[in-house]
Amino acid sequence: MAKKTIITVATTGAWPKKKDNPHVPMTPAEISEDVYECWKAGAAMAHLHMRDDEGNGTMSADKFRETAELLHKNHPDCDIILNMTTSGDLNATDESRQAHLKELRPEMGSFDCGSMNWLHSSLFINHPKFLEQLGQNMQEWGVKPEIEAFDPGMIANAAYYLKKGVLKAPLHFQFCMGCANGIPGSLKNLIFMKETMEGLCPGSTWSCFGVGHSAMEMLYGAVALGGHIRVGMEDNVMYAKGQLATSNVQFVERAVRVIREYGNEPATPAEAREILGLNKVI
Amino acid sequence: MSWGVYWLFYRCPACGKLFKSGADTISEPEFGKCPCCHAEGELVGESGKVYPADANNYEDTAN
Repeated sequence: MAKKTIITVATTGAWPKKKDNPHVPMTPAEISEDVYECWKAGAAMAHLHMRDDEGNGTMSADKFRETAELLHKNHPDCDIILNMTTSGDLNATDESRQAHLKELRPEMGSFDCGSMNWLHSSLFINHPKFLEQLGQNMQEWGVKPEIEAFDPGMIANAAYYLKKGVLKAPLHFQFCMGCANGIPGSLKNLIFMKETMEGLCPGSTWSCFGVGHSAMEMLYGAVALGGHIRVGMEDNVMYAKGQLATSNVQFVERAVRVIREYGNEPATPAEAREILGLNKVI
Repeated sequence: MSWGVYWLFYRCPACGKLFKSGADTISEPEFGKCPCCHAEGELVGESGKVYPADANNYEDTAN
């Protein structure tokens, strides 16, 4: 039986706008339709960010609710796993970063496991108090954290939180490769992230994405090293050098082709739930 | 949350061409150099600071 590889689509993110790529979905209606099309193409999970009416990142629980409701109302057959960000606006409060998780109880939510400089101009703050509170709340609310690690130190932070009970095994990591101020996206570094995780948090699962020029290296690397993969316009608005992506589906379809050429199969949402230890029964 | 490529935007002082280099390709020999005449570019913007309105018109120098 072929090994299953989970494809996560990150449709929107907090930064790209229509001027960067006219196909970036921005509104709840656009995002929910895009998620549905990506599910049909082979994505098992959708990582969701929201935008306000000016197109800026927002942690509005109303926008998350509207998107989830539109998806489920218009496409009741769609069983994709929803993974909602907790980091969609650098100015959000600790409370607004979690309010949508408390209300909507998605199956997964992001957990950015440390702080860092952001775009050489600002700070991406994940204060220890916030992370301890978020980890405990996610356990109480039944939301599995996706541990976003932008460098190996964030994996060590996760190991600490695991010991403290803030996080609960088995963990699922998202290795964020090639972001400014984070670990560069190379196969050598991906192997180092994987081995660091295996040493500190054995039994964890992992996925990765590569921003920009490392996207393909990370896609092939994830498949070859037994991980899972994230694709989409949050991380890349270009499909290839000099070629704007025409849709998020385009990225998902490419990931499906690579996975199948390798000899694996894209995981269905049900298979992804089993791999990740999620409890939802469809 | 990710934020795409961190671009450094350049204008060629020799031929006027607009081009950009991603910070993730900083070790490449062509980084910051005009893809046409190979002159060292004049920095005119960055992703996190002064982001040009016509960013898609800048040619990527990555191989």
